[in-house]
Amino acid sequence: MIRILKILFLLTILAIVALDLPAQDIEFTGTTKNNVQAGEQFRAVYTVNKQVDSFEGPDFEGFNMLSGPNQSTNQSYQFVNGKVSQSYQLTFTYYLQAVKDGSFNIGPAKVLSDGKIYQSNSLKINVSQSASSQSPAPQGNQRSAQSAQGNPGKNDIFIKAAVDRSRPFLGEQVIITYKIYTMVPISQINISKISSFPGFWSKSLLNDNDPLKQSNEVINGKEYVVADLRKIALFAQRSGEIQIEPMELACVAQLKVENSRTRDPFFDSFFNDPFFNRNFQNVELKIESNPLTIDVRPLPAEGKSLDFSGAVGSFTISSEIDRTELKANEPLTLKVTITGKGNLELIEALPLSFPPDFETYDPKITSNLSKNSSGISGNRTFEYLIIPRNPGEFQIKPVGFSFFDPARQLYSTLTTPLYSIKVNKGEDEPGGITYSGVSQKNIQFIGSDIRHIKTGHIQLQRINSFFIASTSFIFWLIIPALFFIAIIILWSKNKKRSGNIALVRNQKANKVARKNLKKAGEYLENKTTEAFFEEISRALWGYISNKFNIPLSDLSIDSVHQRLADKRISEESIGQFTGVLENCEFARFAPGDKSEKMRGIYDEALEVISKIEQELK
Amino acid sequence: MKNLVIIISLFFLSHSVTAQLAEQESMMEQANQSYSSADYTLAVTQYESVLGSGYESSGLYFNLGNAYFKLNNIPAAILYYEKARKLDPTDENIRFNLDLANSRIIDKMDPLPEFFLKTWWKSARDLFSSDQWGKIGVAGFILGLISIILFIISRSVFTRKISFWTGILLLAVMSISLLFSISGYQEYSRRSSAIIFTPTVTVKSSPNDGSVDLFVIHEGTKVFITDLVEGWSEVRLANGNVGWVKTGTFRQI
Repeated sequence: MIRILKILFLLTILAIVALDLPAQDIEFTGTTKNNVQAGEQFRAVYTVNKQVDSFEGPDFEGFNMLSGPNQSTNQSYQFVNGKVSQSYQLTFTYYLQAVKDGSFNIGPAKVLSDGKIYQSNSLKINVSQSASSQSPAPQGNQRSAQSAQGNPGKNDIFIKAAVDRSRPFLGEQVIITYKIYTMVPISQINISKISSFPGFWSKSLLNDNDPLKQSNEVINGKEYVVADLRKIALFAQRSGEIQIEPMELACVAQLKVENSRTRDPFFDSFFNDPFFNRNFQNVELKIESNPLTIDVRPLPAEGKSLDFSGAVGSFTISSEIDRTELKANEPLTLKVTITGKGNLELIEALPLSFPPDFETYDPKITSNLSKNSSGISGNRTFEYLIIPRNPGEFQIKPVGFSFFDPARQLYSTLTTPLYSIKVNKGEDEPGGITYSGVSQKNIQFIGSDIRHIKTGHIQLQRINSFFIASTSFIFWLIIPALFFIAIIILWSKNKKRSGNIALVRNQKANKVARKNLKKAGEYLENKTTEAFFEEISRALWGYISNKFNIPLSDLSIDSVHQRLADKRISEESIGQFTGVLENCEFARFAPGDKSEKMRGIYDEALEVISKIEQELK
Repeated sequence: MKNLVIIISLFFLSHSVTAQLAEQESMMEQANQSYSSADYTLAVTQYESVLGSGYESSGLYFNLGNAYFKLNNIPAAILYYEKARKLDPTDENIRFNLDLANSRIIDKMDPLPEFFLKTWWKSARDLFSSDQWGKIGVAGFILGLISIILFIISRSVFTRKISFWTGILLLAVMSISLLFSISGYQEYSRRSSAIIFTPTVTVKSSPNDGSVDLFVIHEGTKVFITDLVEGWSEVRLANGNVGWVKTGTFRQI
């Protein structure tokens, strides 16, 4: 009720005095810190005591303008002893950061008011280099000086970025924490620019929707309200020095503006009411954190095993298989779980080598990670689905999982166990005989390599019951051969024996005949007719008998004729031969004088024998 | 006297052999009966007992192969069909069953083309078994000798001419038959081919476990063994690929 009365009272007065407010002279001033350190954030404030149409800020050359101009107004009326005094203040605030050291002159800012341009004073800033410039540690005297100005100082609100280790190993977890420190109430915290983490794999450890946890912290005797804005686990992906840009944040700070006007002790209590006095100002602030440098160390080359694939942390491995004996074409599940703390999510599926005849699928990867303030921990499961297509005994060979333990600075290798799998014949194969074709496949090539050297192995032959290799075969060859040889020998012996007599007689035939004829010639001289014819006859018959190996008793004129004809003796010679024989026989037994005939027969006999001898050759 | 002892002992030996043979022949009959009454397991044991007593024949192998085929043991069936075919390459039934069994295994094989003379030689050789060729050779030998005798003894020019040419022909027949017989015997005794019995075999590039996996073959596939090193065999497939497998994974034909 009192408040309403106050307002009514004030409004009435305003209505009266607003009409004849004295025109005030314009006052336009710029203020800032004259001495700053490089990297320090500070404000440049331009104040004008009149409403302006436009504002043109100066060029802050040599400074990093973080935000601005941020406009705020502060208006108050005072009614003292019947006299109304008005106070109007328009403030343009710049947030600047000193980049390099040196002395800088900042030109005047300009405002346009009632068609006139007013200039402020120019500012002179000395920037000094300081190692501790990045440190957000508050400095009491500065703070109080700024506080006296009634504007938020860098030590009233600041963000502090900190890492738990500044020299991590490649892949090692680094937790970066952004904490906001404030001494004034703030609201509407809005992170306008989150740091990017080039070369890092990052995982936020706080949920966005979680309320900020507040705590109190005393630094240099000042009590701050501290809250964790962000907490991020970083895993370096490359080594070297990595700069992390600052995080920018916008918030609305409720600042108490201390009026420069003289105060009346009486009214202070009355007008110190926040509403009435309007000494509290909602200022939109942009603040940013300190930049950070992280020096990522490469992993030691010493002791690095071949199967190391970048896992850094401390892990344990476990694996389970749902069964080790199954039928062909039935699925099999092999689970490999890696539990521990570290860059779990970057762990890739282990290169398990399944027998080449197994049908395998890409593993199903599930990560069960828990985020807490100490980082990421949990487990990562690789579920392999395998379908053996053919029966047999198979082995899933152990596979090594190698990781680097940054705490001990050592590589460790864990291995999965060896699994022996027995695949029986599948049930879908029919028991009976079906002649339909089984699905066939071409042989799959898995790799290629040179062929192995030839080894000088001599294969020994076994004796089998083969006819060709048996002793009976030898007998079958030898016995006929022996028979053959025996026959040949017998035959040739026989031929020699029988052949000799005939040959001798044959060869002697002519000789014997000649001998007989010679004897006959003697008888011819002696004119012993009887003996002569006898001798001629013997010569001729004997010749045939010897020549053809025929006994004398078997001979007759006819058989002689026959035999000579067989030997292809000319008919004339045969006729002559038989004629001589007949004449001879006739003369022997015929009466009368035979002496004339004797000479003729003798000559004829000689002639015919030599003739036949000739023709037989 | 010594000869007499040998002859008598041979007589007794042959007597006991014939007794055993008769026993096995009756066993064969029983096995065939078991097979006919669809008791394949019993048939297999009976056939195997005949085999175990040291006898073999293409018929026995063929029957045993059939029994295994009925039991759906395709590799064993193929093995015995192959054995049967070795002893009797002419039999059409063996060939047919073997082809059928081969169409039921997993690995499909496109055989490498052979040099045509080798194919001709093989197909000519496989007209008869080694034993048959051996007998033909012996018959040719004996007849050839008779022809020679005729040629020598005969006085008739015509007989001599005929016996001369038949003699040459028969001796040529003899040499070729004996070559075929020896070749068939060698192929049998070398036992260079085998059937894979392990369901799945990974063929390696060299004879040790750590070598590169070349390809995978499955039971029933026929391989040719080209080399042996302790515990390992170099095998060549019909399609020409070569690699090493463990010696226990196959059975030689």
